[in-house]
Amino acid sequence: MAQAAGLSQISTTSGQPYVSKLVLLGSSSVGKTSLVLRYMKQDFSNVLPTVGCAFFTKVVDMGSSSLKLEIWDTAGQEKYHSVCHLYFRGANAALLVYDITRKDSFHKAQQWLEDLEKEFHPGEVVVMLVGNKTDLGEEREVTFQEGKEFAESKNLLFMETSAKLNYQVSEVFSTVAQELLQRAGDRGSSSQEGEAVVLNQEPAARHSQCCP
Amino acid sequence: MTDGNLSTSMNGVSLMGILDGRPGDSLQDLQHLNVKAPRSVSVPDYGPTLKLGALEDRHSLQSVDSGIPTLEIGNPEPVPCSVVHVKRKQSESEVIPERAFQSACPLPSCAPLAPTSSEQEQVVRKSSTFPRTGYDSVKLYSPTSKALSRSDNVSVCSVSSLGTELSTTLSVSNEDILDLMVTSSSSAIVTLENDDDRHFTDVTLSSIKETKLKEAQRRKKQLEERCKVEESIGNAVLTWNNEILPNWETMWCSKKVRDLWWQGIPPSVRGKVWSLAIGNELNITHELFDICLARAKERWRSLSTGGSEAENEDAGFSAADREASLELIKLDISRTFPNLCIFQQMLTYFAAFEVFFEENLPKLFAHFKKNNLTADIYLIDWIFTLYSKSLPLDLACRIWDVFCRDGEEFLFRTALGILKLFEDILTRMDFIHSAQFLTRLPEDLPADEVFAAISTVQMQSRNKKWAQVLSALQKDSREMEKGSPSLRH
Repeated sequence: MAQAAGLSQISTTSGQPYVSKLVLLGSSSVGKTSLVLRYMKQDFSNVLPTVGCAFFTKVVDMGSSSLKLEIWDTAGQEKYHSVCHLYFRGANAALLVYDITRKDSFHKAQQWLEDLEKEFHPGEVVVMLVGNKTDLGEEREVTFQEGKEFAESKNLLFMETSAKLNYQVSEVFSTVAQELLQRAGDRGSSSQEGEAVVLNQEPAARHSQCCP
Repeated sequence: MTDGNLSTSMNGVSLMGILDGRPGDSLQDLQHLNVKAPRSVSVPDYGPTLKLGALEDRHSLQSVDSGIPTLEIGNPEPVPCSVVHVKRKQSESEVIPERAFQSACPLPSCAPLAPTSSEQEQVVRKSSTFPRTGYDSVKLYSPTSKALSRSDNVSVCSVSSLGTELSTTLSVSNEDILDLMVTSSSSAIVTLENDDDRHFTDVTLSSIKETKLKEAQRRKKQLEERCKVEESIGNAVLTWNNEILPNWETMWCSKKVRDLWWQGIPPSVRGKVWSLAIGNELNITHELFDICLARAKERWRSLSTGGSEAENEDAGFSAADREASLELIKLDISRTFPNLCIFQQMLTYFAAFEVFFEENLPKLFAHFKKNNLTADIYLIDWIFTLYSKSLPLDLACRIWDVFCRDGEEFLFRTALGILKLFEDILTRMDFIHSAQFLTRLPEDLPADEVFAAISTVQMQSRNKKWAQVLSALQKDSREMEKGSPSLRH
C-alpha cells in the first residue's frame, strides 16, 4: 500500500501537523457515527444509518506536536460490505467498533480485522478494538475480559466506551493519535519502515501494546 | 427500462410502491389523483425557497419524506401526509402561534391582496383540473417570508390537503383576514393613545405603513409568481392527462414529451408516468403483489422471532427459494440479486463514470486524481440512495422522473451535472474538504440550475455511448476475473 506511508511522508519541519487517516469499521448500529459525533461535537443523538462514508477532520493537540485526523466514518450495513474495502485504502489507523450487548458485532469486528490483515502489513496500521455502549452494562454479551484478551492476542489497542455517557470517547482518539505520532517519530529516527516500533504503555488506558 | 433496473436503484425502498402503481386504469384514476394534488404538488414544486434546518434534520426529514411520492401512487388517503406533519420536529404549538402572529402583523396592508385573491378564483375556474385554491388560501394569510421553514411548508400542505370543499376554504380565509384586520387596527389605536409623543408616533406609524406596504408588494409579487408556476404546472397536468397519457405508445418518445418530461412531471401525474415508463414486464398484479408482500411479512416475522436460529428452522428452504429470503436481502443485496448489475459491478460502473468524467470535466478530473479523490467517495453516497439522501426531495423526484425514462445512465449524468455545477469550488478544495462537500451537498440547491448543468453533460465519449463504454468495461472485468471469481479491487 503506497498510500499507507502517507504519515511519514509529511514532514514535521514545515510546522504542518501530521495528517493521518483513521477509519471506523464495524457492524451496523454499533455506534461508529455516535462515537465520532461525540468526539467532534460533544453531541449524542439518534443518527440515521450512514450511507457509504462520512468524513470529518480534527486536529489533535499532543503538546509538542499536533496531528490532523481525517476521520472516515464508514457505513456498517452489510450491503456496503463489498465497497468498504475501498475506504480503508491508505488508512493509518482503524477503529474496530463493536457493541458490547451484541456478540455478533464482536465477531464482525474480528472479521474486519481479517480484512485489514489482507490489505496491510502487520504494524502498518494502528488498530484499536473498541467495545461501545458500556451504558447498557446489564445487557452485556461480550465481557471486558473477552475483548481485552482478543485484542492482546492480536496486538491491538483496546478500550471500552460509551458514546452516550461520553465515557472514554476522546481517550480513544487521543490514544490512537499518540500511537500514530509515536510510530511516525520512531520511523523518522530509526529510518526503518515501521519494523522496530516499541510502545510505551498508556498510563490511563487499559489496553495492550500493538507492536508488530 | 426493466423492473430489474428500477429495483436495483430504488434501494429496496420505493420498489414496492412503484410496482403498486396501476398501469391499466389510468383514466378512472385521474380524478382521484387530482383531488389530492394540493398535497402532493406543493412540496416538490412550490418550495424553491425552502430553507432547511440542521443537516441532521434534513436527513431525517428526507427519509420520512421519501415515502410520499411512492405512497401517493397506491394509497390515495391523505393520511400519510398528516402523519408526516405530526412527526415534524417543530411542534404544532410552535408553528401555529408563529403563523398567527405573521398574519396579524401586516394586516392594514392586506387590502391590496383582495383583488389578487379574486384573480385567484378566476384562475382556478379556468383550469379546474388543478385544485390550487386550498393551498393559496392558506398561503394568503401565511406571509411567505423567506425564512419559511420546511416544516412550515409541509404543515401548510397538509392543511390544504384536508380542505375538502375548496370554495369554503377560500371564503373562510377571507373572513379571517377581515377579522384580523379589525384586531390589528384596534391595536394600533391603543398604541396611539398610550403614546405621548405624537410626532414620534406619526413617524413610527408611517414607517410601519411603509414597511407593510413593501411587505404587501413583495407578497403580491410572490403570489403572482406562484400563480405563474401553478398556471404552467396546471397546463402541464392538462397536457399530460389529455394528450400524452391517452396516446402513450406513440407520444412518449416525441421531442415535445421529452421536453415536458425534463421540466419535471407534475406530481399528480407522476405516478402514472413512472408506471408507464417502467412498464410491467413481469405482469405483476395487485393480487400477486399482496400475496408476495404477505409472504415476505410472514417470513420477516419468523426471522425476527427466530433470531440466529433461523437457519436451522428453515432447513427445508430450497436454493431456488433463496431469492425470497429477506434475511439475504438484509445481508447483502448484491449477493442476493446478482442480476442487479449496479450493485454487483459497482466498480465497473464507477470506471465507466470516470470515462465520461474525464471527457466532460478534464480539469476537475485531473484535480481529483491528483488528490486521490476517487469516484466511490461520493458516488456511493449519491447512487445507492438515488440522490434521496443528498438532494432535496423535489429535486430528487425530478431526477427520478428522467431516471425512469433514461435508466441508470441518467444517475451518472446527474452526478456529472452536480460536479459541473460546483467545478470551480471543487478545484480549489483539498481531498477531505471535497469529500465532505460532496457527501453533504448544499441544502438549497436550485433544481433548475442542477438540471441546466445536467443538460450540458454529454454522455458520449469518442463516439461511444454510455451503454457501449459500460459493456466494454464489463467485458474487460469479466476476462480479468476469470482466474479469481471473487470481486476484489
